[in-house]
Amino acid sequence: MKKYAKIGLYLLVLAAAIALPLLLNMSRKGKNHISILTLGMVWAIAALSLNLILGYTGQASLAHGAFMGIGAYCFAILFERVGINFWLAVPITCLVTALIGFLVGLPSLRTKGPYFAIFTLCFNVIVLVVFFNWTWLSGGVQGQAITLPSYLSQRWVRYYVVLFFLILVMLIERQIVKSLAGPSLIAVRSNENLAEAVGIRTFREKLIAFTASCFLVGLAGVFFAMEQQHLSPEATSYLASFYILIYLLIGGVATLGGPVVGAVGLYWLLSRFEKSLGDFRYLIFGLILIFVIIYFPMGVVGGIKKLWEWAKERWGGKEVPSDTLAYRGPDEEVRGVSSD
Amino acid sequence: MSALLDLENITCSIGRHSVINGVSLQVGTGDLVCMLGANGAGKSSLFKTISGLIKPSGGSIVFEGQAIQKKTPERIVRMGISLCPEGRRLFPKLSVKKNLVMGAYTRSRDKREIMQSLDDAYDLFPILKERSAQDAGTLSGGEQQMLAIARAMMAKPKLLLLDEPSLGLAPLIVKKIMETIVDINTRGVTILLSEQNASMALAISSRGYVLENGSIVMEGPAAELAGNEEVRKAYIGA
Repeated sequence: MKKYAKIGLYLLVLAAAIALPLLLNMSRKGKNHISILTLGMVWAIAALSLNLILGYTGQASLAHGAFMGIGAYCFAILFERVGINFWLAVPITCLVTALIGFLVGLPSLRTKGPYFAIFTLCFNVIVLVVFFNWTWLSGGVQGQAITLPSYLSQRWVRYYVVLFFLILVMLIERQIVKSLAGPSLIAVRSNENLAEAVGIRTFREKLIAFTASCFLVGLAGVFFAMEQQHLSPEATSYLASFYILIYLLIGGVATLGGPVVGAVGLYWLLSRFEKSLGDFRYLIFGLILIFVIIYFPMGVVGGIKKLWEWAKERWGGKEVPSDTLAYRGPDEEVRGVSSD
Repeated sequence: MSALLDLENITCSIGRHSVINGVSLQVGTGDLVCMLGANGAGKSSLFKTISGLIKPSGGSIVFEGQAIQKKTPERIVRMGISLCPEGRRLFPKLSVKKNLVMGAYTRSRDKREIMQSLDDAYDLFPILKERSAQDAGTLSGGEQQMLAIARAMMAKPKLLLLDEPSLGLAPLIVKKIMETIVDINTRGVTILLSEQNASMALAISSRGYVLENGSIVMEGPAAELAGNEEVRKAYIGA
């Protein structure tokens, strides 16, 4: 019963996502919304990729903005300057970002907790400085333009392309989490020392997760470049890393729907209030972030799940162990050094 | 006597503190050996050293004729040494079943074989079967300890290192767990058991060591240690 309800919900959301551009395409104002939603889905792919390393493996990467920018630039250069076919440039870009991610992961994943976050943030700052100064690579202040093939010139076509890849990324992530790799990543997150004692090669697991995560964020970079059709060095900014992080936190870490709800929802809201509130909107979203982290530590999707379980216990008559309602964070286990 | 596990003059330090000062001990195949010691004596450090989580600064550890002191924890688990760490360490957000499957991580990915081991684990602790879908963090203390032991057994170890399995548990549960330890031992698994609960531990084991400040101060057959005046005073309190 519950399973059918879940599948029904997914199909409903999918139908809405497919129907939406048809409705929006009718008016001129609506057409802008298609673009906003497409970019929202691009950020959703980025948030899903961060989810793999932060949500499931517990390593807070603050370099995903840089990797997304690297992906975007790599794609733009391959497609625009080298002249490679659009759909051939996509996998090459993902492989390049994954390779750079692998090389960055080799030293950085040996550090733990906040040190990893600092390391990756530093990497992001370095990448930004490099892209600002290497004008032969980034096009400098003028940036790098992208001329799309004619069949991608329509907004709704790009919308469906990104929607298709978003669903693909979700299915891939679901498969990873359901397989044996998922629990072993969660094992690393919840207690690295114990994971090692059980015989899990924690460094290897983290490196694989980080590389896969960079592969996916490279894909987000490709579609970012496709939708913007113009890149400046700011595309590699660490601000993007924080946006991805905030989308993920507000949506809900370690869930599949959370990053998508967080990214599409927040990006849409931020764009909606751009004219009326200007930069003040960030103030309001700061407050929302604080509110969500205090009252819904598992994000909006986690909060809804919790309410659902509570409602089921209250009215459903089905016995739910009260423990399952209490919030259990990813790291509730005491990590202290044992007594001797 | 050819021992399954042979520690020769092991020393190890954490930072600048030396925690193990030249420990030598032997565990024969099929034995149940206990290691007594107060808090801070170095029991857990010694267990971590054997399982490769801490690298010793000197001495050798030989398991089945092979030196293992430089091997990674993952290699050591594969060779057949499984650690059940102190304080019922589990993956609280994973279900009981997944915790158990994690225990078999180093073994073949053959699903049928893992299912067989799962059945063995449920056979050892039937309560875990009832709880298999529940998150490990929601179990009671005794059940968590059972799960920790069962998970260690999922690796099909030749040698099981049990670090204070009775810590913080009710006497009745401790009794049940001690019975299971004997049961595991009679199934052919060699066990090294660290305990503060000396009377219980000595009652089930064949030999014992007493660890103090990182050195072995006494060793011998369990019955002899149980009768020893100093051991009685320090660890049994009678």
